[in-house]
Amino acid sequence: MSRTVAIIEDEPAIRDNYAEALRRHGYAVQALASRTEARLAFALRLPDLVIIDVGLGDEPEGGFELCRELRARSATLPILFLTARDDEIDVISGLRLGADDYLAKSTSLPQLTARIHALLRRAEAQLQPVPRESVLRLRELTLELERLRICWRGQEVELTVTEFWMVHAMVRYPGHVKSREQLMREAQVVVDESTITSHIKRIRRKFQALDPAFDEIDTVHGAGYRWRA
Amino acid sequence: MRLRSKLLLVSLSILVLPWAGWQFVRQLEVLLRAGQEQALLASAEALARGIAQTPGRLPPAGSGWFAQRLAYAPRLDGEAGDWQGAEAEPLALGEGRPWLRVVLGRSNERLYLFLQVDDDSRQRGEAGWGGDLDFDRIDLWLLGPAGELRLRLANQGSGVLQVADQNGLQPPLRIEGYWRERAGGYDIELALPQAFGLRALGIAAFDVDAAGNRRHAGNGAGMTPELWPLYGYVGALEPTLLALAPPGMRATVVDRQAFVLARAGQVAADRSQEDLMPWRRWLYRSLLFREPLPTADRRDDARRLAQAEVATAIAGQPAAVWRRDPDGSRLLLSAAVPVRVEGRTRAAVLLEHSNSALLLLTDRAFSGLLGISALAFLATAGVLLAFASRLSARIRRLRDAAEKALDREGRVTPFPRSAARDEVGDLSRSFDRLLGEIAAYTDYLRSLASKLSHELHTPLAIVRSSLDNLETASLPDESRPYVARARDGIERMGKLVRTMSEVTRIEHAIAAAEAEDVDVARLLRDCAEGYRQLLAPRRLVLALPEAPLPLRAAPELLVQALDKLVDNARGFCPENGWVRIALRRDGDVLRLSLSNQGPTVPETMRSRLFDSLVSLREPGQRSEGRMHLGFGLTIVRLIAELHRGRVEALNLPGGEGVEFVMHLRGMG
Repeated sequence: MSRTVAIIEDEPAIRDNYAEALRRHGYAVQALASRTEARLAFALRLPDLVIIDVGLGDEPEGGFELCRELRARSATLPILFLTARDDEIDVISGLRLGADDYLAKSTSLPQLTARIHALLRRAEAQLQPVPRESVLRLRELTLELERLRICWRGQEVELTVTEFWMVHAMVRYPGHVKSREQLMREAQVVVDESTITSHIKRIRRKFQALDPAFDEIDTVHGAGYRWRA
Repeated sequence: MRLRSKLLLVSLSILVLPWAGWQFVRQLEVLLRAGQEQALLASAEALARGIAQTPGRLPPAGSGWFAQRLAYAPRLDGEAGDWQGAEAEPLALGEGRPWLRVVLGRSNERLYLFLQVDDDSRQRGEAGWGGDLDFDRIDLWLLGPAGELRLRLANQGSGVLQVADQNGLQPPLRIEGYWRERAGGYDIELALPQAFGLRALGIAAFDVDAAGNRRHAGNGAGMTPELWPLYGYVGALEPTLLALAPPGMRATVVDRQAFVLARAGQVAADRSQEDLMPWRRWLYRSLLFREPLPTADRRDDARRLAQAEVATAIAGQPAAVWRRDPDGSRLLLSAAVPVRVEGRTRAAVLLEHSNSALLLLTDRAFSGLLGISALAFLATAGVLLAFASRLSARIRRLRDAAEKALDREGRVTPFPRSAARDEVGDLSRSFDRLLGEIAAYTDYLRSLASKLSHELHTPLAIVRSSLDNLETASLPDESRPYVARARDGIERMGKLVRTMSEVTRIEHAIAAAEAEDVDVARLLRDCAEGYRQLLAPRRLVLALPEAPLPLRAAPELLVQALDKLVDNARGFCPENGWVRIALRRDGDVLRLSLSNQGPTVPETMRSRLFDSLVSLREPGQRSEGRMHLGFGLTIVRLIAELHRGRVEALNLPGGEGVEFVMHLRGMG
């Protein structure tokens, strides 16, 4: 059964481009232009994944409002925020609206598609127990690859898919320095270097929320980041 | 010159007031003096008229002999040394050069005569010789109570005076005297009998020389003497003078030869000695009484007056003269008027007066003037100074505000408007308006870049996503290069757009920066490898301390600043040049410097390099097609300021390159 992906984007050209690309990948796409349309469309049934453009039309908070409404209806629905610029990611993820990931519109379509795929996979994995899964354990860290889930001292760390992939890149080779470019590649994004910095900062903070003594991620200035060996 | 000094100079023009006042006081003084002269002349006229009431006391209308007062009788020895100064003013007779000099003196009711005859040619004879013989002799005609007597005086040599009558016989009158021969002539000193009652006198001198030439001199026209009446000092006039003369003045009556006939009164003491301070008197003298005045002769007992005004009065014209007091420093005014009886001048009256009244008046006027004009000057100067200070303070404030109006980023700070209604207020309001417009325009320009970049994101996304879709569609091979080029172009555009909003992003990053303890030495060492590769083939030299150098900093921002500096160095340093990064501690400040070989910075630009929108790069230097908006060094400065430090650009000595130095204290 093909999964349904809803896109709420007010710029028609972008909306159509995304919709067609996703359809090519086998998803059923609901292309919606505004919040009102979205509410109408989701009245009966929620899609499998929702992509929301942050800067929806005239309302500055339109996208956030919609996200809150959807989250209220379903705690597990994957929501992806699309921002106009890289640096907005930092701001918007700070709002803790409960979205699952944030991407800039400068991301290429293949990367977007890959992210959607991962998000859906993660949602599925949370519902059903997977018989065998590869688990990476490193000291207090537990990384479940298929579930795209990371636990620290047994507690789940709420990371976006982007952040998960970055941590995975570092944890796979602990002690090795991963450059920003490498982290970008792993996370399937192409962003500004400072965006990577803020991603790492956010990752650190999420870990520190569970364990204030967390300092596994090492900054190697001029080179990149690494997970302690 | 500053405004205040200019206005002070202008206020000096007020000094014209005291100058005008001084001129006025001088005029006043001239007028006062004229008034005093008039007053004194009027008093003198009144006095003269009073004296003319009793003409009998005055000298005769015609010629007469003035008999001087002698305090004691002179010795009859032919020498006038004991004549008590009377011998100094003889009556000189004789045509051409007067050779007969006569002085009459009266002492104790006895009349004395002193005759000086200049006679070189001695043809002496005796008075008793016969009348036919010719010799040097004196004819003396006396008019006494008994009638006329004609006597003859002649001696052969010095000795007791020989007196004879006309015929050479014994005179009826006993006359004592002495004939003294001297070099150049002879002198006769004689005395008439006591209480003789002489009414008139005539004298003639005859001189014969060896060749028989004769000459004569006498008081008569022709060879015979004339009988002239006698007169002398009129003591009876003194009470009249005292009564008629105003107090504090000295009155003197003189005859037509300026011999003193009567004298009374005293010139008043100099009151100004007590009332005025010496320096003020000196001041008035120098400022007011400019004309040099003759000095008065103050002898109280002169027998004959030599003053010019006396001579004028004798000639018939009243006159007044100002003189300086010889021993004091006051002024003396003397007025002389003729005494007329029946239209003929018989004598002259001289009134002398010292006027300290004038000086005191002047002093009062002058000190008043000085005081008021000083006050006026101070008040006006004070007002002008206050006004000038206020005005120049306002203009200075305006100037300072104008200089501070634009801060380093070209942002406009609020400008203080003045509510005053004058030109300075208008100027400040104009400035405010001007700056408002600049601010609006600058804001528009500043936001243009970010608005533009914001707007461009959407079309960029459209093109990107379209190209993505295009690539998955089945394209003929010849289309693929175009798609590739389109994508390339879009990437570049994307970078441009990102650069346009770079400064705003950095500003956000700085605002959100969190401080941590960073070992700057280790940080630099870590980054060095990357920079070395970036800068190749240029050489990178490191001068870092061995020990850690901790700093409270935002490490990613420091690295960003360094990236910018290295990028800058890369743009300006030639390929075979060197770049040097050095770090050391200077007290509580960390000194991080990056120097590179290459062109130096012009002096005028050194401080402006770190302002926005300043770029020194040549068009050809812009590498890799990246647009250079000149933000790099501004970002360095903002990051340095975040760390409570500053950044400066220095030219290396010898002009071989530039050094950028960051002084960092660490975030708070």
